[in-house]
Amino acid sequence: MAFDIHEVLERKGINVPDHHKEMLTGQMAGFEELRKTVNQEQLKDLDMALTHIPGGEQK
Amino acid sequence: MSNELAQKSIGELAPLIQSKQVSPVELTEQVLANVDLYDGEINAYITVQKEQALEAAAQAEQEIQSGNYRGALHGIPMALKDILYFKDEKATMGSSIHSEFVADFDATVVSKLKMSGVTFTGKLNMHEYAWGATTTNPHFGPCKNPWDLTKIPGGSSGGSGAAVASHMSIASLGTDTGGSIRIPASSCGIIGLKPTHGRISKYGCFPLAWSLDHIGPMTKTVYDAALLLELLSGYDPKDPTSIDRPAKNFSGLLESDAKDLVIGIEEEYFFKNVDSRVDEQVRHVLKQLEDEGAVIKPVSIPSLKQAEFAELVTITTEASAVHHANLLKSPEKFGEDVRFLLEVGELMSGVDYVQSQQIRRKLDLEFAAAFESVDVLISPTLPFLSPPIGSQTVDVNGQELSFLDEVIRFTGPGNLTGLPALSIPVGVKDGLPVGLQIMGPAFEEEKVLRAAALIERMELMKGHAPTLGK
Repeated sequence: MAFDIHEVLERKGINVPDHHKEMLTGQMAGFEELRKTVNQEQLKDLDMALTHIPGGEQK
Repeated sequence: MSNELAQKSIGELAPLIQSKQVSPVELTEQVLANVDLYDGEINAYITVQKEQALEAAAQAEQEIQSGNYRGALHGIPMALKDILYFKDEKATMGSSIHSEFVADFDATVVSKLKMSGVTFTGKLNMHEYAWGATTTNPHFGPCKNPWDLTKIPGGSSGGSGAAVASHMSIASLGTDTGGSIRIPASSCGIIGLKPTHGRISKYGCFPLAWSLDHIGPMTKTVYDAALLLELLSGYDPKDPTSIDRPAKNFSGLLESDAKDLVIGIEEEYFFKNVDSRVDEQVRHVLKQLEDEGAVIKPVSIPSLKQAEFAELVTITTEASAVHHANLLKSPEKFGEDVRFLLEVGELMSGVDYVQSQQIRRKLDLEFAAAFESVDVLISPTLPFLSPPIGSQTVDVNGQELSFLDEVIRFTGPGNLTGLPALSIPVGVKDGLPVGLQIMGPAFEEEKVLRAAALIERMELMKGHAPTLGK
């Protein structure tokens, strides 16, 4: 099934101007290319940088 | 009126003000005269606060005459990016939506500058909500590059870059989420320093993307950047990302010898697809540093390949979270480009965001490993020279590339990792400044500043000045 990015935005209640539709398609196609750079295997061993320790940043 | 005083740096002016050889009123008048002369064309200011500035300058003068000199910033005229809150004053964020917003408290950095006796001359133009790098602002008009009025000054802190370069502000502050201090600094031929994340409080600064945002100095000299950094540093419990590290006497740590410097070069990422004019100038500086005794060492940071993905996902997602309610309620009030980017951010998945944070962790580890064997990393700040206002593309060695894709390629990793990074002008090509970026280890800004001071001593900008502001 084709991924309709405009529908995703409209379902969220975001009004997308017609002339953005082609631009968004192009941008997201470029993003898909960038996604290919992500090495999923390498990420398996990595903890997220986000922490939820109170005052954790100050330790 | 002569504008000789307005051309000076904080470091040059402070002793003259302290010894009462220069009057803060005369200095402020000169800065405001430059605003009258040049800002009609450059459009660096959103608001000029002439009367307020002259009153503050008179007060500073009186305090200094009475023997109450507060320090190097006392009586120095500065305008700041219009994203920082001043109590009971408008902060527009360069937007239509917040055009009438009045803050009811001072940003921590504003409060520190007020305590130091700075004379505020006004609020500076910026890319709307700091979400972009051109400063072609649809609500307050485009800001232009003082070196060439047909070119962008960079952004998002374009007003700060243009104002300092044309002596309409002695120094300024910018904010940097993907390069917004360093990009305009490079484009306008000044110093721009993004400190370590957590070093300077962001309390009272409207967010673009919480985990990437920084505040930092934009100045005429490395010494001024060091001075402002030491003044603005320090833990602030009001900013949850603030980190409790003692401020250092950065301005006293600038002396060094090139023989003690080990420079890392990451060729694969930071020198790929660079305009040959920029590449040549940066390599010329590296050669000169090497001739002076510095060691140049190749380093490898493999995860930089994933940096563009992580930066795009993190910045768009966080920015869209900040503006989500207004994007639903009044999307037409955003400029076209910002509205588009906010729509892009709404399309990222939770998985994309989490993986981006994993990539950031990987980058942290790889940069830390690189800094075990080198003091700093050097690269171009931008892979191109400033493009014309309104252009969506940049020309890199005859290739037409997307401005949006290219503009934060070299600056973004500094935001993803939070590492300190500075842009310094290293020459002029075809009438436009070239910026060189120096990155350093976390909380070791002195290493970045020392390397910058060595480069500044080469006097590569000697004889060059913007068309306006000479």
